[in-house]
Amino acid sequence: MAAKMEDSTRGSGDSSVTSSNMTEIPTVAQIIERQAASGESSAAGGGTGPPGSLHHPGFALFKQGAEARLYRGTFLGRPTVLKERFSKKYRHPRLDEKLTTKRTQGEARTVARARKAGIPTPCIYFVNYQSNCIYMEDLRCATTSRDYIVAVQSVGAGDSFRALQPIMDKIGKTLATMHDGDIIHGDLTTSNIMLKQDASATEPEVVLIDFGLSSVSQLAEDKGVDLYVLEKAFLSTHPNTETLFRIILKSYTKHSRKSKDVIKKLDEVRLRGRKRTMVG
Amino acid sequence: MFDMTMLLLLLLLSSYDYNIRSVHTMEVSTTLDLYPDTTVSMVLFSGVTNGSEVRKKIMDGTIEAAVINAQMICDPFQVLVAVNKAVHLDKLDKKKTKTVFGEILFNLSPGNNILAAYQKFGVQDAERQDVLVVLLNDLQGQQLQQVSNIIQGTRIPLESLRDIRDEQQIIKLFKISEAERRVGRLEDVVVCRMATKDAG
Repeated sequence: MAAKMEDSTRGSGDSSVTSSNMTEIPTVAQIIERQAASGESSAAGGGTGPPGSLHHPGFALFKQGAEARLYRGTFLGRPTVLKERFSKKYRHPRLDEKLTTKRTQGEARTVARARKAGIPTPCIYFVNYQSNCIYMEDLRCATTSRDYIVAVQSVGAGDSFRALQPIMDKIGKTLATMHDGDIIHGDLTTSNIMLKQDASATEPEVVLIDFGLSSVSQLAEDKGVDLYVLEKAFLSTHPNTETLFRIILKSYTKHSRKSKDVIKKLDEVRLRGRKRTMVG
Repeated sequence: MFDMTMLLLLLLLSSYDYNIRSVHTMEVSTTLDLYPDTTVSMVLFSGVTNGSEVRKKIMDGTIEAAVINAQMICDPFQVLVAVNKAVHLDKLDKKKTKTVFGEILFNLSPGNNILAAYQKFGVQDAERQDVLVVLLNDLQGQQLQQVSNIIQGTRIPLESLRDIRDEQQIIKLFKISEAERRVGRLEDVVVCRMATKDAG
């Protein structure tokens, strides 16, 4: 099985070589720069010019999910992301209000907890429990690990694996620290793992975002499911990256104190899926 | 020459940061993004000798301002965050303290004890101290005039806060661990703690 996977990895690598022959593998800093040059003007450019939304003057919508809307703007002089949880009309109004506020509060709580454990995550500036808005740091000089992996894979062949190795190592280490702090992210994807590199920094730093589905738990089961969710997301967004994901797990095992139980659980979860069988 | 350009650049940056509307002598004013009808002014006084008198005047209502122990402030942004939250809760009538100014001090503090917040972040008993005065909607500068008449000290630029701040004391009060300290700049660590303190 493993050998087959290795083969397919190599296969895809070869095909990308032919499409864009020996281009150099980009660094994280280069990808950030490239995105800043192309994308940022469309993403409201820090919210200086655009008219902004009706309810949030000065803030421009840039992303909408199932739970919340994200806006960009300026808050007390700092570039800021505004995350607004909206009400769901299909829920009973009372329940809806309670759920929305609880989730906003829960997110703020875990972000604080994660930072205390030493996990870099965007700084929260202000929480409005009335409108369920969280104002937080807009990461500058950062890209999602998803974009980075895609960019590297699109140019590099066999070397892409080696280029991504240190990043994967760091991701594994960050996840280990997070789980050792009994924080379950709940929605680990390569889009929620950011890579930040300031002009002053020599190496990229892993920053976790979106703690909207997070919880606190000591159970190896929950941590195993957390990793399983990442594995699923990772392998479906980035085909033929089994080897890369294995580096994350290896680094996780090395850095986490309780990795043995978690990895064991992960193997268990792989066989049965995320949901536990409820028998008896 | 290089120094001059750096200085200019710094000035430009700082004026961008705080969206300065009016610059009187050493006074920085800005409006709150979420409450554009509220103007915040910050003035830094150095070598203040009459701390207990100032406290008395605050308690009897003569001084309508927040007078903050400047040692406990990392950055003006930290104060603006506290002011924004205080104004927000004031509009909702959900303040924990009696006045907006009391609420500013309370928001700066990591705990939920109002007295402890006043003692740590309010004006001290020390013979000489540096205080940061925060005024709200002082458009004509009358409140500042009044406060300046009471406080015995010299006004210094707001940028001096960085030199005044007592990092060790801040770290100790907020119980910031080594790991948390490494997450980002000290002001960001503190601001995030302040913003999430009522999240439980």
